Amino acid sequence: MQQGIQIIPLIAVVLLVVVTIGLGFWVQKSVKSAADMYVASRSVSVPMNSAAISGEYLSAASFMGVAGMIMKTGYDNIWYPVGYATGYLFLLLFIAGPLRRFGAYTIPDFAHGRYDSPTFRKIAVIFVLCIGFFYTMPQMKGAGTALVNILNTPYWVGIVVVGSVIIFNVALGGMKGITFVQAVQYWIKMVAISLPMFIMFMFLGGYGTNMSKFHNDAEKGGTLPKFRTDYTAIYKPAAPLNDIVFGTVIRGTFEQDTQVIITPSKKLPEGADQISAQQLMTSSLPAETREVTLPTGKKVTAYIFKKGTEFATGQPIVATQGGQPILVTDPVSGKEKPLKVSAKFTVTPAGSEEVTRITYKAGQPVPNAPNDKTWIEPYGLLSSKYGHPVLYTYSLILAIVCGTAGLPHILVRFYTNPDGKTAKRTTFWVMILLGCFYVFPPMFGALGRAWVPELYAVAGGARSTDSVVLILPRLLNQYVPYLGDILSAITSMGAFAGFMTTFSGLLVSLTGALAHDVYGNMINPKATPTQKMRAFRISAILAGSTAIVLGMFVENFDINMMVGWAFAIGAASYFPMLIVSAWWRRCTAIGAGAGMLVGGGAALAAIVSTMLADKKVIPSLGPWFADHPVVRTLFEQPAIWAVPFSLLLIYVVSLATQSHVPKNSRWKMLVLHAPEELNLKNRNYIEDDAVPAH
Amino acid sequence: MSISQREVLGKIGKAVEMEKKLDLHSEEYLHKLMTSQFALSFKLFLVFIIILLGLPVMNYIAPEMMNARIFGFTVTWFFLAVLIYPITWLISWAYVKSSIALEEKAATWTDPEEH
Repeated sequence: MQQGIQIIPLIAVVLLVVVTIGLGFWVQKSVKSAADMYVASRSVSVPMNSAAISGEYLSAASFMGVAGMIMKTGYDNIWYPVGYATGYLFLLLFIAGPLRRFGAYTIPDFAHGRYDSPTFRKIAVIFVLCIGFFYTMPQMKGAGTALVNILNTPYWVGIVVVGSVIIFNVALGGMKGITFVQAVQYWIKMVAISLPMFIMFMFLGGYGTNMSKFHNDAEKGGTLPKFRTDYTAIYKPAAPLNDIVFGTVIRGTFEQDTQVIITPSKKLPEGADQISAQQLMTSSLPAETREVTLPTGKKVTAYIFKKGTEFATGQPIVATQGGQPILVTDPVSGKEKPLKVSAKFTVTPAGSEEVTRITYKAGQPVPNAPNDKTWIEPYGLLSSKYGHPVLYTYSLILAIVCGTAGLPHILVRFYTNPDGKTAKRTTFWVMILLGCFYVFPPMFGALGRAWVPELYAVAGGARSTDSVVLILPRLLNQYVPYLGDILSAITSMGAFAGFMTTFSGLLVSLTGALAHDVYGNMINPKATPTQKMRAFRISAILAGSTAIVLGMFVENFDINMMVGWAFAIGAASYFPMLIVSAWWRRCTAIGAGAGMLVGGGAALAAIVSTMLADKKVIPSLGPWFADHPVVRTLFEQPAIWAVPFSLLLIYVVSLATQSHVPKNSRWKMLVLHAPEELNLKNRNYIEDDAVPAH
Repeated sequence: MSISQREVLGKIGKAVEMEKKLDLHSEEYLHKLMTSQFALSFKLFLVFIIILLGLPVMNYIAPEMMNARIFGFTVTWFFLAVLIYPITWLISWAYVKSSIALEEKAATWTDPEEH
């Protein structure tokens, strides 16, 4: 157990913060104009810009979250990094070139310019701010919890540190300053994920060697990972962190008096024969019991295990109905098989302790871990949770791919390219940089399963699969003193760079929306360059402080859930609007606006409804979803219907409002698609004032 | 490209320019430009979408083949976690190359004297 301040990671993080501030000062000297601040004077070279875009895009979720998810439930989660990387291909094929050529600075600029509609600009601004703030919250939470892990500081310290450093950098150097910082941080992250992995390969065996330890044949496919040393797991008394699913016979010892609710690991169908707690156990149950009322109002019996009691769960048993085995259809193979359940504990300290501690001996199977076959093969725990794995997989792919193409902080970077051609070349290099990075998180997932399986024992928090990237390298301390600590410090630095760059990118796009769209276009259209620069700095401080405050409130939110919201809204709003606007001349502002608002709104409403059901805000919703697994799947991953729905809406509404097609739409399409050689120029939305002509 | 050039054509849809560059501003030119670019994008989009969306189908209909072991991995793991990235690089390289070539060609479709 790691307690207290860890000196080596602390040094790494301090170093990173100091370097980031130093770079900010250094670049600041060359920031002379509003065009520098807003779009880095549109003169960022291809290598610099592709590293900056990649640096900005690789958030902490990519750095830590993806590896953790892959370790936790296996194959299905590889779709996340693949979707994150290939979303760029869609951007490249349909959006990057035209968008840059149009010359607009922000998406609201594009919405306004493409349709000559100031109202559309206002709607688009609201969306930029919404998606942007949604996406800053998980970054803030990540920063807060990472510092808790490394330094044991209070949650708010991490948020304030990351927040202020980035606000400082953005306010000082604007887009130009942040471009350089992000490019440097891409390389920090790339080194931070690859170097420790290569060194671990030398000690722990290669990628393929470790993968070959997991079996998917009929005989050994059911193997569960086993504790490599004695391990004491800490369970916080909050659902679902205090749920423990035991797949087979597992022995453990309670370190305090503990109240345990024992239920079957899967929900039994209506009318099934009751399964008693004793049937799920090998050891005998304690005599002392207590009646507990669940949040749903149901009363259940909890067993009080005394301190030091050893327990042993049982083999999976077949659920029955009227004495006959209950058969379920496997959603992938289509074969019928008996429904098997094992023990699930819900643990709470019976005394005054704050957490439940359970010690497992070396060699015991790890609870909460999927077996080898489920983990390594497609259609595992993630996609099969509602019984429609193929549908779930497709919707997940679509959400990530279209969501990437609809993130405002990524799109805004395309305007820093000198022209449409370099925008295309930049995207190509971004794909290479991202691809090289995303090969690594699955390696952490695989080596994590093989070498630190104890992380499965608790479903979330500091010592769970979520932190595999930080914890796995420490294993090397056994081979070379301090090597593990140094490598872990390097990965901590990478994770921290993840929060900083993504937050800085979001802050630039939020600031751009406030300073350029709200101030520069709505409040004071005649602003002088000096006023514009000041507006940018004030907006950066305003937006950044708001993000810090929002970050304080989300300590108990799930990071992946918040990221999912941002992606789903992006996928169903911006993506359809942009692609149709770039390629369909007869599209109208009303059509595009309606598709964006209603499509994005519907996707958001669907996701929020699943959250309300899960958090039991609307108690009747949960059981209803349980009875309608298809609806549940479609609501949790709405992209598969929300994106086509939004596109259809744009099409139908545009056809109905053909009299509103912009009069010069042919010119606009020409500007979007004609090669630069023809010198067609739309107006530049950020004037190149104060920059000497070159 | 100088700054002044960028600003010259600022005012959208000037009648004078429309007449002067009739060729460039003709319906035919725009149509040819957009369809050729879109055809290229769509072709490569199809290639990729078949690979991307075909993999879950293969996983579903041929699980034995996809879950066979290769270098310690399963076929499908090796494909999705490693091989897919070079494939996207190839597609985007092909796109950038042909798309820029297409742009250069498109510039010659109009009379260069006129602009």
